[in-house]
Amino acid sequence: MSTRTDPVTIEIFSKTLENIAFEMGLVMMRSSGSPVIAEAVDFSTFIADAEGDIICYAGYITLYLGTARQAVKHILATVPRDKIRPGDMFICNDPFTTGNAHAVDVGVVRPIFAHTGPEPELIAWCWSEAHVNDFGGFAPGSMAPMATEAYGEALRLPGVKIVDRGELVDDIWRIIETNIRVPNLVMNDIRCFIAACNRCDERMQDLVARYGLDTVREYVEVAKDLAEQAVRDRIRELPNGVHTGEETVEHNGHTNGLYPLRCTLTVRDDTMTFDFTESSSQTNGFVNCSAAMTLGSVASPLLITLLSDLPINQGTLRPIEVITKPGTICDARMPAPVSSGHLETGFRVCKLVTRLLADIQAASDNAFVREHVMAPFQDSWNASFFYAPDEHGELVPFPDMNGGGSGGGAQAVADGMDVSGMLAQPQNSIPDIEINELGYPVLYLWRKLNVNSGGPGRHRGGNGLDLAWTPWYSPGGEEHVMAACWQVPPAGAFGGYPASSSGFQLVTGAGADTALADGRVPGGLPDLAAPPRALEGKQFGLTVGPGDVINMRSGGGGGYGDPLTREPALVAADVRAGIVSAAAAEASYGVLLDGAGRVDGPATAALRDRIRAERRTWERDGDRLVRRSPAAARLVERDQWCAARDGVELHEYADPDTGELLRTEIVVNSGVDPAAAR
Amino acid sequence: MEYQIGCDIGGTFTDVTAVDSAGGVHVDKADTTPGDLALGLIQALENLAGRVGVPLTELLGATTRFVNGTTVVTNSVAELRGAVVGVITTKGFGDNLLIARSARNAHRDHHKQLNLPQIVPRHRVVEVNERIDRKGRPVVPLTEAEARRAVSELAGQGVEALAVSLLWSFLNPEHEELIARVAAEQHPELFVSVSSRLHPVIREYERTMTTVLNSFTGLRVAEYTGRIERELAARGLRVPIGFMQGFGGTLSAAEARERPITLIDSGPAGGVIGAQALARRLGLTDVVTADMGGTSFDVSVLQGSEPLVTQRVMLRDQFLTALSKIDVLPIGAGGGSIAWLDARGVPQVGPRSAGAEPGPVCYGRGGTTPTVTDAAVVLGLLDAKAFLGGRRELAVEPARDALAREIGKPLELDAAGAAAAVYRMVTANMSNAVRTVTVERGHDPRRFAMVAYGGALGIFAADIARIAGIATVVVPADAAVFSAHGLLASDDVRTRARSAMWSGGDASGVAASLRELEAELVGSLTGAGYGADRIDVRWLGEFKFAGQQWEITVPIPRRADIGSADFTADLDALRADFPRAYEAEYGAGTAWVGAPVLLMSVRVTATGRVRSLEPTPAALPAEPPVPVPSGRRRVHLPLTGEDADIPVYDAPSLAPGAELEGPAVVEHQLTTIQVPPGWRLRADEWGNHVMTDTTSGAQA
Repeated sequence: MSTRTDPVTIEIFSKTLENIAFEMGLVMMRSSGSPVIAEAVDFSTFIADAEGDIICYAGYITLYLGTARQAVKHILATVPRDKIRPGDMFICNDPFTTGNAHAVDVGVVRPIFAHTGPEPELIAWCWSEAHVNDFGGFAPGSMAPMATEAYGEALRLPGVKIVDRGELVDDIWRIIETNIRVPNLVMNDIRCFIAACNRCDERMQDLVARYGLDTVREYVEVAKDLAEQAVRDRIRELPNGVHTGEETVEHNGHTNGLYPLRCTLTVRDDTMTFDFTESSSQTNGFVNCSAAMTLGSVASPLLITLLSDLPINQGTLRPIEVITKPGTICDARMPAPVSSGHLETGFRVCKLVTRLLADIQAASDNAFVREHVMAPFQDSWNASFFYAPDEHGELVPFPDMNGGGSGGGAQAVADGMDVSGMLAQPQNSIPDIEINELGYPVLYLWRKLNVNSGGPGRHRGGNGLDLAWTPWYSPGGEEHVMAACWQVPPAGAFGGYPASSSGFQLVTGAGADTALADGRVPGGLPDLAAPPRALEGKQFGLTVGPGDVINMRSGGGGGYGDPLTREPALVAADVRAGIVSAAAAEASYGVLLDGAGRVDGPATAALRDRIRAERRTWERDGDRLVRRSPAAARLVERDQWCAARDGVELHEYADPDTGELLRTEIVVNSGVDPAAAR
Repeated sequence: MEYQIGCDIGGTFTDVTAVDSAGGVHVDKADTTPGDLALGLIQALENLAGRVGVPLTELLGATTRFVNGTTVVTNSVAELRGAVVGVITTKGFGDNLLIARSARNAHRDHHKQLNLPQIVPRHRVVEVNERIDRKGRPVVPLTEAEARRAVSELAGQGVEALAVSLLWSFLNPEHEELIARVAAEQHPELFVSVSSRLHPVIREYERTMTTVLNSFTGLRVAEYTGRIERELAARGLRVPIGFMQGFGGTLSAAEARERPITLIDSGPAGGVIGAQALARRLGLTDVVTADMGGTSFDVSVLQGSEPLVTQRVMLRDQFLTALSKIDVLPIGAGGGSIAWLDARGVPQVGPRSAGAEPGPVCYGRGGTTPTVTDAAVVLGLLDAKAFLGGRRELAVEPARDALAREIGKPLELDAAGAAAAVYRMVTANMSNAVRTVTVERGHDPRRFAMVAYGGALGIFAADIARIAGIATVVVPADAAVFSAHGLLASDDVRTRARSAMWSGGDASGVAASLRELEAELVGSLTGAGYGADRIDVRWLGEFKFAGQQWEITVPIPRRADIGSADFTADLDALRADFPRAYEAEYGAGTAWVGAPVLLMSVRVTATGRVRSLEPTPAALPAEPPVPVPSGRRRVHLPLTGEDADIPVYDAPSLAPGAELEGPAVVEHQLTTIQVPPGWRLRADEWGNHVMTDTTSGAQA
């Protein structure tokens, strides 16, 4: 094999590495029982060099990029080198040392040794990680909204040996078994992480045999340098400047507070700096996240938009700096609870970075960069956990993976994806109804797209889900719900409107069982025997009895561009499909339909003119016109929805001459004082 | 004389092969006629009859087997052109196809994360007030009036076909059958697909998608099969036509009309089945099949000379179905694949293709972006004057300019250097695909031989094989029309699955399912004229540990006239053995300790064994004949970067048993074979070209 390092040779080598990291994921998906792994594809695999620098990261979940590296770095810093031996594997889940998103995300890390010399030589590390069913602590599932400290959240393992030179370490195995609720399920998942790491080791041995150790080392470095250079070139396509933005984390599990997250993004030549120093102090609820998580949350939108055609390795990250301040909501320190930190603070970081990138990328001279602008996703993983006995009296915990069914942001070139799941979650899928009903004591009444949930725009935001279920072959049980995006909806981009946000409702006395027995399948909330009760963003310990109904409505992604510029025929098609209501077509899009559902051209043109004229009456604000309104009320006018909250406003900016909508913003005026949030 | 005819209607060409009872093989082709495929087929058959030297009616009259592979279904799905379909589904779940279980895919680029195209717009999905639960209990019974309303509503919208798919219908098909009956009574003109008949297994999304696609493609297949049946009968064909399925194996026209979607991807299947027959003939057990066309490179594995079958096939990278088919991995690397530089300045090849129009730059039809074919002609591997038997002259200079401009200049390479970079990149991509189907599935490539076909692959095959660790490459005699010949090797295969949901205890229900499915399939084969001695039946089970998402396929021993108790004992034994089967797949220590083993569904496959006419080998001389080159050519060897004058051989002039050493080029009318340095090529007694890596210690 030639050792010349031309780009073709390096690329051929890098593709082989990528192939290995993806194959680890295939092993996990195929061998795992967890719906979190197989359906939501909520896991990550990567390969690092001997120092823990990432050399290849399979893009299953980009969110864990920061975590993955931190885990290896921590093991290298804490385990003596002579105790790191061939056949060893380490288990890690501690947000505070190994950087995991939360303690129920468990990773197995394996050092890889070359056996080409007289002594085995450490050449690489691999990692496989996923969200497991439970890892102990207060709450089933180890998502502990009641926690005020991390001590009670879960068992924490800071990178300890679970396999010692090929032998399972029984002591650790037994400690884990003893501390968790569903040991069989979780231990089986850990087995599948081990299988994935074994596969990586085998294939890395082949690679060393094929290329030789020195060549492998050299190629890894060149691949990093190539990626770094490409990222620097891409950043140079952006105008230099300093941009600031704010998002708000909601409801910390105890307190319905608002916690500002602030970022200053500086683009200077070929570097980008994201500075989160001014964000809220950490709070005593489970919404805080680690600095490693914040890094992954910054990287995710970057890798999907600006850098979507470039490989992921340590070189990719070199030109990008993320600054956080210890003790803030995005760089939590012990003992702040963090069990929902990535879903709350992490995904808000994704939204904030998506918005900042949209503004900067739109100003680029490079068409690829401009076309990759997008509006924020809903990014609310709407968790529902139902604990109820089945007909045999056995308690069956039911985590509904339909929670990953919210909508995607509209793009500069296309509508957002319906039911996309989270931005940082490529390959997301949601379960078949039959699979959920087979496994859990519930019967779904409906699962449909949530009407008008995607933000209106020239390109519409993707829609979320509207679903309802009732206990089935079960006397009922206890329900817990959590939505991250409830009072502060995701913004639109460039005149696109915000999306609806997410929320749960409980219908006590709904009589769904009676309706079915009478031969009627209820088709919506109005068909139920009792009115729905809107639940808070996080609410726990609800009783759901026979015939009662839980309804989840997940929000969509933000819209892109002034909705008055959307092709009227597309609006009519959405109305006919039941995705957009006639009222929303009129209010948001200025489209009027005739009795047959076709666009009424003249009436639409006249209405659009009237809406533009109305905009020209808005208040002057510099060189633009502005209208400021309470967000919830303004969304309801457009047949959309978010939970009402004082101080959460929608600001709309229009061009004084044309009446074109230039920009919409969600502005939160009443953040909890960061100091008081402790 | 007796004949068997295989006919593969592809996107560009309709290929035909006839084997006669004296062992003679005749091949020809004609342009495919997309408007009416029968025209191109007849033309190809006329050409073939000319080769055989008899009138077409005489050829067809003496034909005892006629097998057809067609892209009708593949194209219908690829182009999203099919019937106007209406869907009837359970109330509350009409958005199923829009929700699509979340359509996120593996692409990081959000431009590739878009909503799926909708074959059925939402307004042609009608919900009916009915509900069956997970025990098969009709919680809300479907009334006949409600069924009538739904059928009428869709008929009123002018649909041509119905797809009926209700929740839990695989446990209780009553409601679906009611709708089917109402539709048959009120609108007998409609093509109707019923999910519980097509695939009575859990997971409503893929069951629905399969049902919808079946209806979508149904009319075209009915029209197509009817038309070629009539046209061929009018020209003297007296045997029923067998239609190739993507699963491998053929179906009768009547069955094809009932389950049209099973014809999808029958072209690649024909090639794999042909490679299987070739491998048996040559005594090869472990084979990688590789097919390179204009837009894609398709690889598959024959392990112990059996093709792998994949379940839950994803079509167009978009539609998840419940179909099973021969496991072929396609990658975007064909002769027309475009070479480009990515943002790092690294050369990439494909997946974008210049297609047939405008095609590669060297075709001179207006293409300006360099392709793999352009690289091959610039390197000198492809003779610009002899392309397609001299029917088309290739323009070398424009290809050279395009490569120099698009790839060479930024990388500071000349045109030949740029062509070599493209060659190496595409070869690496294809080699990775070969590794994916071998190493990653636990096979050692050194035990494998590669069967390489498709007009373009002979140039790359040896280098792909060497990178993948394979030491033997077989380029079959009819490499350019290989799939057509392969069709003749196909047996007549029927397969059906049914939900089982068994986790221990009395298994008489499972046994009954297997027997019913078997009786149905054997009946169908018997009706097609197969005697009991020519029918093979296999039983398969989809097992998993309770709590797992996906199943592993395990054969169930089939014992005739087995009692319920014995059958239960057999299943119990499989259950007990499952951890071992599982660890064989995923490695020691991965089996789920303590989790119950579930049998989710069973499948019966019945094969009617056909009698294929075999080609007759030529006599081998005692001494290998010495081949004589027809000339020499200047070639830029892509791996070493050297320019060399290498000998060129005319394939038909290579006598059986002739051997030659690389570097050399062997030219056939429709294909070119590169023998790189370090390889030896031998012409065998069947006209195949077998290349061996002389630098490798491994033998296939």
